[in-house]
Amino acid sequence: MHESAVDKIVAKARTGDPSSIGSLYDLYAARVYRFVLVRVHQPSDAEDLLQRIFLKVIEALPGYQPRGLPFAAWLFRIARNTVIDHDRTRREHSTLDEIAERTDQRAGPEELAEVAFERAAIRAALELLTSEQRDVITYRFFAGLSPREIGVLMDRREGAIRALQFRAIQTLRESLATGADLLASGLSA
Amino acid sequence: MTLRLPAGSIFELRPKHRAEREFAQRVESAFRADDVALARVRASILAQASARSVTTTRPSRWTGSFSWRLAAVAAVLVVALASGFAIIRSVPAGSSQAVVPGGSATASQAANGASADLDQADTSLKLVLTAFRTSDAADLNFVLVAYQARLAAIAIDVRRPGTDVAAARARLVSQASSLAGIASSVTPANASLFKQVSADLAGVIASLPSKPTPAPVNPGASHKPTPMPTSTATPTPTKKPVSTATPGNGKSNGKGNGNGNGNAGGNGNGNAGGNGKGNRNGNASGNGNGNAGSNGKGTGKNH
Repeated sequence: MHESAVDKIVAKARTGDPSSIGSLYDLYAARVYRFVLVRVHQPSDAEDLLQRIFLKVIEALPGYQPRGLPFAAWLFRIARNTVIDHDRTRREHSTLDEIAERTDQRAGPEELAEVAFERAAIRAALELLTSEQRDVITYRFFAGLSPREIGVLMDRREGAIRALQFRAIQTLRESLATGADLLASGLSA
Repeated sequence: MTLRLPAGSIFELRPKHRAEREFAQRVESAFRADDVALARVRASILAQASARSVTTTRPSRWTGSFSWRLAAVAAVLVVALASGFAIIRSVPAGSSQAVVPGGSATASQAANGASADLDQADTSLKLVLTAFRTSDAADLNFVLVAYQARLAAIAIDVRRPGTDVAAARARLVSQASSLAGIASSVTPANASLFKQVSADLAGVIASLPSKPTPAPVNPGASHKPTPMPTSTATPTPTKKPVSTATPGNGKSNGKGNGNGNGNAGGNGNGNAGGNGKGNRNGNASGNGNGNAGSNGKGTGKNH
């Protein structure tokens, strides 16, 4: 959706219009969920954080100024801060972190295992990146932000963001291919 | 024949773009959101947003677990208000007759009230356990708040005279046991609220009276008398004692003596929620029995 169309929805949502708030949610919920899930690991946590983030967004909407900062960048700044806060408090509940990761219960065991493996592989690959590269990749591929929006968020030029993304993708490609090879060799052994 | 592309050609970008597309697809399939979960969160957010827009034009701090805390506080307030309205009944103007909450059936009603609260708490707890079994974090939070509200009502009602404290304790301990049964498996999303509810339950159990509160002598009275109800008797030798007691305020303990000067008619001032016993010095003696939230009724006789 074009930025100006989003701004119109945001303008109506600022007045508390439930339909516009619902539209904003429909536009961004899946992206926010992915962005959160890659950080918190557990879907139940991701759902809880998704709710917190959108409530924060609704709360902060009256103070949002469309000039300068695209709405998506503004929203994901809130999302990022909320996840960071969650990470801090999560340490206090470390004993509860041992609960097995829950996934979509409608999926079969094979599919669940496959998804869990894929998630683990992607997370492991992301760990190989630098902090900046990881931020760029999560904003770009999990949050679906444009390089320009990421540039605003990270206070970097768009060209610098593209360069970071390029190097990160190369690293990811290699590590994920290696991971797949390792898995294939492990399965055949 | 092999076509060699010049270095830096736009065609060289293709593999990079393909790599990006592939990675994007992998992310999308591996981190796909559950549609049902998204819909549930959507409904919750819109409900909270609507509630907020009704209550305030200026947004307050509606964040995460804090919103649950707000909901819990609201629920507890509703329960407390409901209980308060049950207790505080207006006294008919000019009435010399004691008016008590629920009349003479108050003690049994109090017992029934606590029992009903415990029943509702049982039901709420069953919902907590069900929500836990279905692994629904949002629902679990919701029912935990409802259960917390029931605990608040119980904390008030078990202190009422006539309540079977031992039975209430047994049921609450049983509920604590059920709650403790799921403690080890609560998710971090619910951990804070769960901890809070468990603490509330422990607090209610700890605050239970050690023995049942006896039902008052006057079946209607649900409170104890204020100290020193003072007689405001005016000497009225030829008249039968008439109570001019005014409704007292507050809850108090103790037995008060009212002193009245006059030949007849001592007026005992019974104060709200208690039995006021007024004794007079004078030619006539009489007792003023003030009951909960009522006027004392003087029954003096001339000597």
